[in-house]
Amino acid sequence: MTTPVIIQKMGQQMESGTITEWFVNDGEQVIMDDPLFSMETDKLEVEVTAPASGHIKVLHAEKVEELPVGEVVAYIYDEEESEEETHQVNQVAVTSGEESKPIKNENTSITKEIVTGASKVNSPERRIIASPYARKLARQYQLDLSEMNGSASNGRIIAQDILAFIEKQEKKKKSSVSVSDQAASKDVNDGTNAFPLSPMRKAITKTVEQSARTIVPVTITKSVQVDKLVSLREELKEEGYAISPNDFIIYAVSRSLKKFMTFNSVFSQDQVRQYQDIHIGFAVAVDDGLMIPVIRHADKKSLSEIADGRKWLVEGVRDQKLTNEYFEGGTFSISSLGNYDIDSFSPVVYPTQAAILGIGSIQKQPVVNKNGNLEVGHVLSLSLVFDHRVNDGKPGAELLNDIGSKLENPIKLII
Amino acid sequence: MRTIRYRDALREAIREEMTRDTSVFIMGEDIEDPFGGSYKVTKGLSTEFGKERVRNTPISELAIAGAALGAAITGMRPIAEIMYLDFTTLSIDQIVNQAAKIRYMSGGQVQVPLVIRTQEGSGNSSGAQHGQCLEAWYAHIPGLKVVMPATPADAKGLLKASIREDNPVVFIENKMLYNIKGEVSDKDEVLGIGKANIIREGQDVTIVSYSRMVHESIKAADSLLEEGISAEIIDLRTIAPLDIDTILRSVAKTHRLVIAHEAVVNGGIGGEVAARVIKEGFDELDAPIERVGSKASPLPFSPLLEKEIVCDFNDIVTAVQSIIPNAKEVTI
Amino acid sequence: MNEQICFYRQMLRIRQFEQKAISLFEKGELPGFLHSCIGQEAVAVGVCSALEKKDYLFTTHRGHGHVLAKGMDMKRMVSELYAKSTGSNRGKGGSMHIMDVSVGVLGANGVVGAGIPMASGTALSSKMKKDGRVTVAFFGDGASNTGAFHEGINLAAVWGLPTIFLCENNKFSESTSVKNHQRVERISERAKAFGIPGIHVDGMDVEAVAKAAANSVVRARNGEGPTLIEADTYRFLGHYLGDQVEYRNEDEHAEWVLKDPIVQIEKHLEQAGLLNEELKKNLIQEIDAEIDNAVDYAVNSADPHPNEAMDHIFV
Repeated sequence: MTTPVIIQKMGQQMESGTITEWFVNDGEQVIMDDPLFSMETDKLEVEVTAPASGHIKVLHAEKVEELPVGEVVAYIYDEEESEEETHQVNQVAVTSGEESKPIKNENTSITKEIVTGASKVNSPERRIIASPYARKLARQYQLDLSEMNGSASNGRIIAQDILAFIEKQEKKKKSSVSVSDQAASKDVNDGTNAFPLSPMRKAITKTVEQSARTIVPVTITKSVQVDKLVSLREELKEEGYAISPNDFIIYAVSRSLKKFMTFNSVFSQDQVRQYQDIHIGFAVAVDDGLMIPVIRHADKKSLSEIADGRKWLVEGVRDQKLTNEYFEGGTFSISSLGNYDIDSFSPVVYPTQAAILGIGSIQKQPVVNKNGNLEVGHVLSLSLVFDHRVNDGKPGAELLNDIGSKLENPIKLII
Repeated sequence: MRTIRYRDALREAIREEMTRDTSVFIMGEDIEDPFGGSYKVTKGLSTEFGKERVRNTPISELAIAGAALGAAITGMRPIAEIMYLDFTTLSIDQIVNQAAKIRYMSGGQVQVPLVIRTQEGSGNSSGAQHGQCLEAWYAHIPGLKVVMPATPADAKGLLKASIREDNPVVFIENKMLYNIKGEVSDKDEVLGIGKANIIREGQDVTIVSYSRMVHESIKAADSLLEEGISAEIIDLRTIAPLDIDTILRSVAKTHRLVIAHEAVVNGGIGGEVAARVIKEGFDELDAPIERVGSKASPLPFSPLLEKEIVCDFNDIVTAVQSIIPNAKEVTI
Repeated sequence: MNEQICFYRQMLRIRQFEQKAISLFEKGELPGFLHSCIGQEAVAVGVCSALEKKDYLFTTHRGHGHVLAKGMDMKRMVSELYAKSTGSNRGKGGSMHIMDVSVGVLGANGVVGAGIPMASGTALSSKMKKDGRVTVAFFGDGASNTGAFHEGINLAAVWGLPTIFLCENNKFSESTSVKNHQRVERISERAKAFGIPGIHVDGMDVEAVAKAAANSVVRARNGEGPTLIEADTYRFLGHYLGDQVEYRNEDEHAEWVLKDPIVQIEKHLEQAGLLNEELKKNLIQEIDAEIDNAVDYAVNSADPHPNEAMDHIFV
């Protein structure tokens, strides 16, 4: 019995992984669940463990960047069987002409579709039909055939489709060339230092680029006076509850969203798709970028549940312990620069969502109280950025006012 | 350079070789004057060279081939004319079991400078036993070279080459080509056996053909050009050995291949060419390979039915169109 | 040496060679098929006594006697049976295609009758080149029913070619008795159909065969055209080695074995005082030594190199 070790998909977005370190040597005996190697994806660093016991044949020993999902990186042979024997078993099954029995090598059951010359593995559902010459061109130009449509019979991709694709890409590139692009494309001796992107930066780049390409952002800003929230927080602290302003905000947003579900949506293929559940993502800054873990069903969680969950997730992000599932499925996001003494800012809407709330610092400011006198108050700036394709200014203002009033009068939070 | 007929080019080749080399002689049914051969290729030769070197035979195709082989392995350079390729079925033991193998079986003790000259092809209601295109049979046999000229110049240059060749050559003419005219050198020009000829350069598709179908390919290419399709035409000239390199180079340029021959499609040379290109030029193919040939039927007598069975330039045009989705498309 | 002793010695040589070949084949040392000519030695020896080295000879699948009598080197012959690189055909022909151009042996043939039209062709060559050679085509009674026989002999007749068409009527085409595969009593009668002389001769009498062959050779060399000779003989063993000969008429077989050509000439020579036990023993020993020497040579020869498989053919 041979068990392949593959680059497993650890999240919907994951396309590849980079092996950073092997913990076992080629040919070594391994026991099921032994750590085999550490792998970096665009979201996280994980330890991959042995799916079976036996001796291991390592295929990708050196650090290889961005192995596609599904790529076999090693085989584990069980005790009775060597690599050669496996091959013999296969051959016997083929040459004896017996009725085809399932061959025990699970390797053969992995559905692979070579998409380009770079052995990119596509999802098994879609078989790509392309002429040999089109495939050769795709390899040459490092193009992904899965992004193309074939014009020949049976949807076959032929050379002219590749040509059309290249032309389209070049047009796109030309129209989007900016001053900085031109600078970047200059020779290396242009006074800049080049730094290759880490997987996380690549992912961030991809996400914000996608957002910029598709989403039409509108920003509206509101300052709210949060003295009551501040004092409530102090009181809770004295009672032994550590609730941060962000927890209040997540709590408030999740409740307000229930009235404004069009902001709990995504614009996709000419239609608005409204999410049924409310999962609030919140940005957490890390060394090389930021990550957005998700509090699922935030609208159904109590304040303390939100607080505990958020704390656990933040620690998980910092310790790089979270698997991809904790980053998936957000329906609305919150980004806070509250710790960095910022008045306000407009964050980028996540491509699979319709809005994001940017939070500034709580600042002491002179405010006019209800008696018309000046006093010092705690003021928080909220910026709602939303996709104009989904929502207009009026509902945006209503949502923001709803959130603001909850934060100004936290008593409303318990109703 | 003069413009002469295919038939006259063949006669010139025989005459020149018989003059050059006294071991060259020709034997076959009804080739002597005054008849001068069923298709008059040998007309005048027995008068010129005498009946010792231009020999009428009984209707004995097996003996013609066998005797020519015997003469070939003992120092002569015989040309055996078999009136119709269909009739080589009667000679086939001597061609396939003997001539093709005797050099090898003997461990190289003999050479076989033998030419079996014959002709094939439909087009004149000759019916099911006088027009078959059986060249693929012979191309399948190791030890035989199979030469099939399409033009007067090739007919002369390749027949001379075949007569000088030390391996047995099945030299297949086409009865509908005897009267076509073309420029032919009056010099002693000997062409290379096994070399294809690119007779027209093009960009969009390669049409591989030989013998009479070359002329249909030219017609097809002219018609395709009106649609904006530029076809490259390769005349194989020799189907064994096959000049695969010329084909591969062309396919690497056009990325599309159509093979056209008058022989029926199944089991034809087109299959061999296709298989070689799929293996050796796989990455260059941008479309399925199309084979054009006659329908799998005996040749009918009726001119109307004959036209129905035998392929022509229209079939080539259709085949090309079927693998170029948009005729106006620019190619890479 | 006396001519009759020469005949005897040559026939004995063929017989012993065939017996050796059978034992080697039965030991599994020789690949392929083996067709023994035991019983037919007088025809081979008689015909070849009339030929010169330069003359051409086509033989059949049952051809060991013919090629030995024509003068083929036994070492190269055995090596070919062993499929060795030193074989006459470099291991590419074997018993059924054995060929030695140096002594005019233009090949045994795996196709019954196929040598006949080729013999007309070599004779045509000789006629056109006026090289004085004659060609003999050996074939059996079975071949006389093929198209090649009729077409080939007719062509030689029409063109007056120097050919001797030598039919060894050994009474069997493979397993079918000659009585069941043709209506004419004598194959030599078929010569009439071609307008050439047809001679019937006792194929168990070497001197009779030699005489008939010599006359035909003279005719051929004189430009008088071909002759068809039918030599009446008998195949003592099966079609091939391993043939169980269930089809054989044992009375007929017993009758023919009594006519063993070697026994006949032995008796004749003994009666004439030309052969005694000592001479016979010496001859046998001498032949055995030649055969053993040839077998040793073959056994110790190299196999063909695998690279030679694609030699002698163009690609």
